[in-house]
Amino acid sequence: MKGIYVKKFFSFILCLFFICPAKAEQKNILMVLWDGCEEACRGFQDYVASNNMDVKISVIDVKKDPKLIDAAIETVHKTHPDLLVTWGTMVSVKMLGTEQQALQEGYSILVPAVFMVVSQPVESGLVSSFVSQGRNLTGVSQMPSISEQIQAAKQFFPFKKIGIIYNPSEKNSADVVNDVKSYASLLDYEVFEKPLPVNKNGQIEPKAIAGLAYELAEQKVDIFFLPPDFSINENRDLFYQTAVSLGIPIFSASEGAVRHGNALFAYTHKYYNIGQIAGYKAKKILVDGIPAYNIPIETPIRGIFVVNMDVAKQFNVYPPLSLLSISELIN
Amino acid sequence: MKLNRMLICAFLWAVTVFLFTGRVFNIFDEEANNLNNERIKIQIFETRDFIQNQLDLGQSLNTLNSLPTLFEKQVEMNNEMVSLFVADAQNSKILFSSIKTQEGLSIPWIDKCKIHNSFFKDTFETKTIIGTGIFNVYNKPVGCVGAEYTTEKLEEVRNKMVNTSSHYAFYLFTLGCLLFFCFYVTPTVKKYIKNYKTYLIVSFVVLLLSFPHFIGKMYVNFEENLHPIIETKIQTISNKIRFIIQFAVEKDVPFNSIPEAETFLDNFKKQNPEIAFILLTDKSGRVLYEAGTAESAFKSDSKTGQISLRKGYYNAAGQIIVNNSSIGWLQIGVNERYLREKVF
Repeated sequence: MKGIYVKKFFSFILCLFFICPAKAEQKNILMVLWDGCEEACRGFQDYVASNNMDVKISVIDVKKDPKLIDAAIETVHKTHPDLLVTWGTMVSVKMLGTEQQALQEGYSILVPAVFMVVSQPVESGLVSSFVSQGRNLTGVSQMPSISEQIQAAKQFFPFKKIGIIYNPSEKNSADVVNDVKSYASLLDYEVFEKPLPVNKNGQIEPKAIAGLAYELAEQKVDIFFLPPDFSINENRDLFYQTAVSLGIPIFSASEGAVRHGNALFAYTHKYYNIGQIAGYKAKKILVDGIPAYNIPIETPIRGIFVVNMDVAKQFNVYPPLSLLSISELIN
Repeated sequence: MKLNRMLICAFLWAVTVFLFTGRVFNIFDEEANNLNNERIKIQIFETRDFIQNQLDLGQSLNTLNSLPTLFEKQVEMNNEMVSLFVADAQNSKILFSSIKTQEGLSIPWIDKCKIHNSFFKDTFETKTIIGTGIFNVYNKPVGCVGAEYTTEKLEEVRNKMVNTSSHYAFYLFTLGCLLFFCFYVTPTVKKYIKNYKTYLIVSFVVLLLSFPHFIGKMYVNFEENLHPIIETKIQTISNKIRFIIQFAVEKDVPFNSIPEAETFLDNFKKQNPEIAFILLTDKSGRVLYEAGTAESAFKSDSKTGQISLRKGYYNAAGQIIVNNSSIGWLQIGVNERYLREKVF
C-alpha cells in the first residue's frame, strides 16, 4: 500500500516537471494604425504568421482621426497588451509620448512598444538616438537617411544644384531641409531653399509655389527635391506642372509622389519590409525576451529606386543601366 | 664535351624544361579554374541579386513562384549546370528548383549560406555544388541559391593542357639534347669534315631559333586549350549585358542615349582582364558606346583595305533583340594572349 502511494507521488512529480509542462501563455499584441491595415501592417502580420509566433493580434484603426488615439491609449491601460505596435509619427508620438514627456511624472505607457513607418524618430522627439535611447521601445523608420537619399539621387542623376520649396512651419519638412544642407559640402552640391510664406495658422498660399519654382530655375538648379511636406504634397499638381514647364525633374523623399504624381524618382524602402522588420523586433521582445530598449531602431539596409517612366520620357532623364536592376519602374 | 658532362647537361636541361613547362601549365590551369569560377559566380550572383531585388520589392522567398521557370531556362542555356535551386535558410529545404523532384529535399550545407556575400564551391557526394546566401533588407539570411555543376569540360581542358605540356616538354628537351650533342660530336666531326664549322654554326643557329618557335607554339596550344573556357565565360557576360540593355530599351530608354552606358561596359572590362574591348553598335554597325580601344585588336590590309582581327584576338558578338527585332550588336573583343605576361 505504501508502495502505491510512493509511486503515485513520484508520478505526480514527473508529470509536474517533465511530462506535463505548463503551457506558455499566448501573448497579446495591440496594433494601433493610422489608416487601416496597409502594406506595413500586412508585412508585420505575415512575419508573425510565418514564424509561428503564439500571439493574438488586436487592431485599432484610428481612421486618420487624432481624437481616436486617446481611446486607443485607454485601451492600452485597460487591456495591458504584452506589446504595442504603432503606425506612423502621429500615432506613435501621441501614444508613446516624446522622450521629454516620458521623463515627466504621470507618464504611464509602460508596455514595450515597436513603432513603424516613422520617418524621423529623432526629429519627432520620440527618441534621442537610434541606439541606447533608454526607453522601453524600439522601431523601424521607412525613410532612408538624407545622406543615403542624396547619394542615391546623385547616382541616378548627377546634380550640382538642388532646389527645395517647403513649408517652414512643418517641423518634419524643416528638419529634412536642414539635413540636406548639412551634407552639401561633403557630397559636393549646393542647396537653394525657398521657404513658402505662411499665415498665422501655419498655412501656405499655394499660388506662391510656382513663383518660388521660377526663382529657383533662375538660380539654375539641376533638380527639385520634394521633402515629406504635407502642404507641398497637397498642392503637388501645381508644383509638378511648374517643374515640367521649367524642364527641372523632381526627386521625392517618398514614393507616393512618384507613383501617384509626377515626381521622377524616389529612393525608398517598401512598407511591407518595414512591417517585416517590425515583426522581427516583436519576436525578439516576446519570444527571445530581449528588452525593447536593447534593440536598436533601424532602417532597412537596402533601398530601391521607384521611377516614373512617363516622367522620365518627358524630361529625357532615364535611370542608368547599373541602377535598372534595383529599380521599380512605374508606367 | 665529354659524355658524362653531356649527360649532366641533359639532366639539368630536363629539370629546366620541366620547371618551365610546369610553370606555364600551372598558370593556364589556374586561369582555367578562375575563369570557370568567375563565370559561375556571375550566374549565381545574378540569380541572387534578382531574388534579393524581389524581396526588396516586398515579396517573400516562398511566394516567388516564377523561379522554377526562370531556373529551367538558365539550366538550358548552360550545358554544365545540372540544376539550379533556392533553399529556405530556416528549415534547410529546397523551395524551388529547375528539377521538380528536388523541391522539399533538405540540404546539409545550409550554414555555408549564412555568411554575408559568401560564395562557396564544394563537393558533396559526387556533385560539385556552388552557392551563395540570400539576405533580406535587415541583413538576416533567408535562403540560399545553389547550383549543381559538372566539371567534365574543365577536366577535358585540363587533360588537353597536360598533353600540351608533355608534348612541348619533350620537344624542348630533345632540342636541348641535340644542341649538347652538337658540342659533344664537334671534336669527332673536326677530323672528318672540312667545313665542320659552317655545319656546326648552321645547326647551332637552327636549333637555337627552334626554341622560340616551339615555345610560341606551346603558348598557342595552351591558348587554344583555354579557348572553350574563355568563350563560355564571355558568353555569360554577353548574355548579362544584353539582357540589361534589352530590358532598358523595352522600358523605353532610347537605345542611342542610354545614361552611363560606357561606364557600365567599362566596369565589365575592368573586372575581366581577358576583355580587350566592348562595343555596342546599332544595326548598321555604327559604334554607339565603347569600353577599351578596339583599334589595337584590328588590322587593315594595305592592298584591299579590308579590316580583320589580329591573331590572338577573337570577337564574341551577340544581337540586341527588342520586341523580336534586332536593334544592334554587342561585340566583346577578347585578347587570348593576356596570360603570357603572367609567365614572366
